[in-house]
Amino acid sequence: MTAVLRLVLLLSVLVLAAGCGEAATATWLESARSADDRASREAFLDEGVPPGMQPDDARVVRHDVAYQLARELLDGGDAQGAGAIATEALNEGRADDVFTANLFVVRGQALEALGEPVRATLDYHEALMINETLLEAALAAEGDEE
Amino acid sequence: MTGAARRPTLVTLVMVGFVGLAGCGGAAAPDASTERAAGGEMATDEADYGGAAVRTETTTAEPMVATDDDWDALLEADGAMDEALELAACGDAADHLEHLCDLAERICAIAEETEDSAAADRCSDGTMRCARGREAVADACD
Repeated sequence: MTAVLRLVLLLSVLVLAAGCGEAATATWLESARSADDRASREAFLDEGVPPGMQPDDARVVRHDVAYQLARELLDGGDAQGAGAIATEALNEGRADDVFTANLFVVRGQALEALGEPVRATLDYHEALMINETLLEAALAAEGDEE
Repeated sequence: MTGAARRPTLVTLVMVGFVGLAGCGGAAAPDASTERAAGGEMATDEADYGGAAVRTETTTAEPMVATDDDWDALLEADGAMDEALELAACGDAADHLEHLCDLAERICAIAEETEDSAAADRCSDGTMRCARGREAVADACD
């Protein structure tokens, strides 16, 4: 399954879930889905989370948009900005998932670009351990199916 | 470039989806009168008294009889599903392993360039986790 398809699936499921609740949630999720440039991503991250949304669902969506913004900034040469966005998002919450791992990776890359490779290894190591946890979970799921 | 940043895995998405949809329970259950109005026929009438379905026999209910062919088909379908799930889990595991090992490799490259002892420790740790992961994936999926 392609990365884009996976993101579309995630947001579609969340939009469906939001249909059971408040229209504000659906609107918020739609703005996350359609945020595809720096301005719209920044605007999305400045918005508050709609009331009633599960905090971890909100974190996942915000982490993904923050990652995309940080990646865009880093690719555009703004390593300082990319690192700041990633740090801000990581301060909102962390979990053993790819969203958090992505933020650690992009912050590590920003640190390398800023000439701080040793500090980058701390972030890479955090992402590495998340991947190990996810690997173990996948293998446990594989074992359960046998 | 570590190559480790990526989109969520299918498993993650399905889990998030279930969590998200959990809040919708109870909204979509059709009531019996609607089904009847739509022409639905039921072998037995069921009346709902506070959540407990009370069955009142109005027609003769015949038990379903499964033939050997039915069972064979069911077992075959179940086996195919297990195989598909196993492939998906191993695919996810391989993906995580690849990122884990890419990150370990990048950490080690930095450790070598900088000759920093803390980075070298992280390199050793990452290399060990990468090797352990390779072994686990090989055991489970090869």
